Amino acid sequence: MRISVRGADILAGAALGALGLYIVQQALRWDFMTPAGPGPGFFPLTYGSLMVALSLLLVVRSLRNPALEERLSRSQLGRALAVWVVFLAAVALLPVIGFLLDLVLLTLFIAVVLYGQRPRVALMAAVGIAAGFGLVFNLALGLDLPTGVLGF
Amino acid sequence: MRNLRSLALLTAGFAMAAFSVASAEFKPTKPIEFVVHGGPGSGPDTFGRAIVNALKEEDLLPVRVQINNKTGGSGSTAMSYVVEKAGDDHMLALFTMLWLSNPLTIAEAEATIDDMTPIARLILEPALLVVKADSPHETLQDFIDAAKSRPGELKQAGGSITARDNIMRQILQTETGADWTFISFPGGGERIAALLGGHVDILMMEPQEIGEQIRAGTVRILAQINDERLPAYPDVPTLQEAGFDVPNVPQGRGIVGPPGMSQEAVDYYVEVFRKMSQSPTWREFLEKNQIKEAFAGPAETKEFFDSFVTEMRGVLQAAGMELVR
Amino acid sequence: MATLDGLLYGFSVALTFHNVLWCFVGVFLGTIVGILPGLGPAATIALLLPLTFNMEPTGGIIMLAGIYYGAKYGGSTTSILLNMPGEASSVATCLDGYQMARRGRAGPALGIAAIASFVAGTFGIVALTLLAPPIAAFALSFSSPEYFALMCLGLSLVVLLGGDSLVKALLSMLVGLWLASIGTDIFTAQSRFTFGTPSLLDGLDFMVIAIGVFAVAEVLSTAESRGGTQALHVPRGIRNLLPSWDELKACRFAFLNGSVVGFLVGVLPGAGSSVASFISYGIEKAVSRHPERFGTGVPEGVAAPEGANNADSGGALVPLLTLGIPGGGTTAILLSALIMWGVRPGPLMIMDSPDVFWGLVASMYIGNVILLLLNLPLVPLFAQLLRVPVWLLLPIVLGICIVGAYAVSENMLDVWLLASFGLLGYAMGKLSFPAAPLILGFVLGDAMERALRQSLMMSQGDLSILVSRPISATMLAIAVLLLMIPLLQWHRSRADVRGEEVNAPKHR
Repeated sequence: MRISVRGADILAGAALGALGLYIVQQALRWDFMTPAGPGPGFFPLTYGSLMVALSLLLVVRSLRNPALEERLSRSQLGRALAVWVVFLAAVALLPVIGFLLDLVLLTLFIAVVLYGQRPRVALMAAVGIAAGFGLVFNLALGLDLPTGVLGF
Repeated sequence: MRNLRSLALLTAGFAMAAFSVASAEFKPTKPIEFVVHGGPGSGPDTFGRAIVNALKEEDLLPVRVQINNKTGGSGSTAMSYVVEKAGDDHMLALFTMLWLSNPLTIAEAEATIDDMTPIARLILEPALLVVKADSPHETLQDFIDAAKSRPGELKQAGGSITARDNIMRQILQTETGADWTFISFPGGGERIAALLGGHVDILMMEPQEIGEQIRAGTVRILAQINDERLPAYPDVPTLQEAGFDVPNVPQGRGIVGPPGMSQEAVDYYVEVFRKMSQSPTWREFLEKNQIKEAFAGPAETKEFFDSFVTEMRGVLQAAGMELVR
Repeated sequence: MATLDGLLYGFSVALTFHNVLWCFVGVFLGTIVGILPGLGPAATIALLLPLTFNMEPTGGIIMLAGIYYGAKYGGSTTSILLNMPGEASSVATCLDGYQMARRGRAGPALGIAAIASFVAGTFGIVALTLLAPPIAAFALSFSSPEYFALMCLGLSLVVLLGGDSLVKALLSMLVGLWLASIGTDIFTAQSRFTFGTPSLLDGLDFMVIAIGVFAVAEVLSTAESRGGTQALHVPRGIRNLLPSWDELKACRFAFLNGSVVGFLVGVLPGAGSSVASFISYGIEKAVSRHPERFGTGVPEGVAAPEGANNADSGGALVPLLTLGIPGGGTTAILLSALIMWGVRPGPLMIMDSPDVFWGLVASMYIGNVILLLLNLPLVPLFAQLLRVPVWLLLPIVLGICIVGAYAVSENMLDVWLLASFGLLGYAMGKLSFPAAPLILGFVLGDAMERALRQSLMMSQGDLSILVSRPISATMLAIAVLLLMIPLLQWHRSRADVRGEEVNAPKHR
């Protein structure tokens, strides 16, 4: 399955249109104008409506313009999204295993799975990086890093 | 000789008994966590650090006090955090009036001041009503009269709509029948700039923030929001002296603890802060910042909370705001 | 005390061994703090305050101010090398700075950033020295209608940041405006778009959005292909590590632009330094003969915003030192530092404490020189950082991003938002939605709405207040003109097409 840019534009337009409609719907619940001046609904209603209008324009333009048939490469997208999903998992794990361990795992994934490095080298580098972060951020700068159930 | 020895033994026995009774009293055994709702450098943080400094200089605690900046959620993050740590005898938090007023209007706030253990109110901040030096209004009455004759035209720069300067305005408007506009600016600097630039007509501000402008003569004080005249401004009438029979909406700060704090711990901390309030280090800090010492124990502090919240409800509702609690 | 006398007196104060040492410590700390997201100059100064309690005020303020403007130098480093803004004001530097690095010109980009920072920073201090009182009066004449007009001007520059599709640029900007409204409305205490979460009551943090949309998105983008071991190509040879004469010549106007715009915007209390850098970038693009090259890595696209954010520091000190009015975050902390030492910042400060006032001003000249001497030789060193193999670089960048997001208020929500904005930034890149308008919309949207509502409150609903005042009328007129540009271009291209159609049938 290859995704066409035109299709993606239409999807984006639709998503933004939906967002715009949501914004307008929320904005209508608040005062548009009060005796003391514009209310909290004024701006959201304005830019929300503009958003709906422009998204419509985008969708219509993309539908009418068959020339944009560039394809996005599936394998490239796949690699990028894989990193994102792993990053998301890493964020989820932060309160559980703590930042330092999390960083080690993240490094291992990227190095070994994504770039095919040798596991032992990757592990040494990962531990090195985590130690570096601990030293620079925690000890030197005194910033708090997320800690997990193990206490660090 | 034997009598003396038995007397000595008896005394020693009494002493030990007394000591063991005394050790049922609370004493902190690990560092105390002091929660403030602003980041480093913010108002609550600076004030909190002044407290920590005074406690240290006057040697009032056997353990360290560690400030924990819990920013976010307009203070509600800090409040929720305090409530979470129910029963912890080694945690204190700095409350400001925001802790009392926010839960009234903000639905997302989960904790209220009633959930917490009042320990002590420490200070009350006075305020000054100032106009630009070349303003046509010589007294507050002049301003009120002008506002009455031109409703909505005169403007006051201030903070958020639930802050003290707007509450005082609502009260004054109700009392006098005058009507002037309130314009919110997020920072004190912007408010002063608006006044100095002639874009607004009046400003209510704490003495330490506006003090330098007064000294330089760029602004003039119309009235003081305080029970008696501040020593630095003996010639300026208070609001009541100027003929306005309205209460001074208080702006106070103090200490609360998490819910379920042990009574012994509360008593201990009340004593500590009572001593701090009378200490020279603290008094020097207050004098430098023109803040009023207003120590009050837990019962009086609770009363203070209740009466303020009731007053706030009344004023906010009259101003047409929606209350969520 | 006359200005020149004052300045000479200031140098006599600032050039003592101790004060030069404090200046060095300050600017050095500032540079480091600026490089890394997660620790900003404001937090650093606030944390150091208690330690400086017993210091002499002159030395103390010299050091703390050094952290303030030194951070502006450091902020560009990660922006250029990793597309990760170290400071809010360094976001605009990412736009062309990172692209220069991608083309193998990382060294020159860093060099130009340092030079622009020095030129504009020095300009800012000279302007502060010579023009402080009239500029302060000018700043006071600025009120909400003028702020609104300024924000409109800034947003209208979006049409120039747009790239190919104006519709997409506008949509990005609108999303930015929406993100800015998340939080509590100051005028009515109404919470907007907070989804019932107390953590969102204060709104989204700018750095979380910027780091996500720029740095995390770039990581995802880099991960797309297995490629070589290095993320970016770093050529060897000293000639490739310093800006060439051509590149420097191209930046001539940018140095001036950044200086003036940065200083003027900095003077206005409440206008942030990111506003200054974006407006300067927009103006540079507007006057360029090849605006389409912006965003691909042109040196003036680095020089303008980098200069602006440094001149901005000089400007922000004008209201602080002449009127005692802090412009915002960091200057407010500097104000409390001065108060702590018993110096009273206000209109009388220059008379009461001339040693502090002039000592500080003089020290900033010295500080800027130190910073230039510190940063330029470090350029080749920093550029070498790009030789780190990509499989190491990506996790390091992600790690720094997490630390930066978490450091905002130690709330996991910010880290989750970081991840979301990372995906958003990546998707936007793939779909050709430009990221700069989103950031611009976020930065300006809040201030613009506030300024408009304040203006209408001042005029009791009368819209004419916006055009009846000369300054705001002028800026709004320029904004409208800028918005006309794409319409004119579109009209002209339609005429060309029609012209061709008229000619074509003859050839049938």
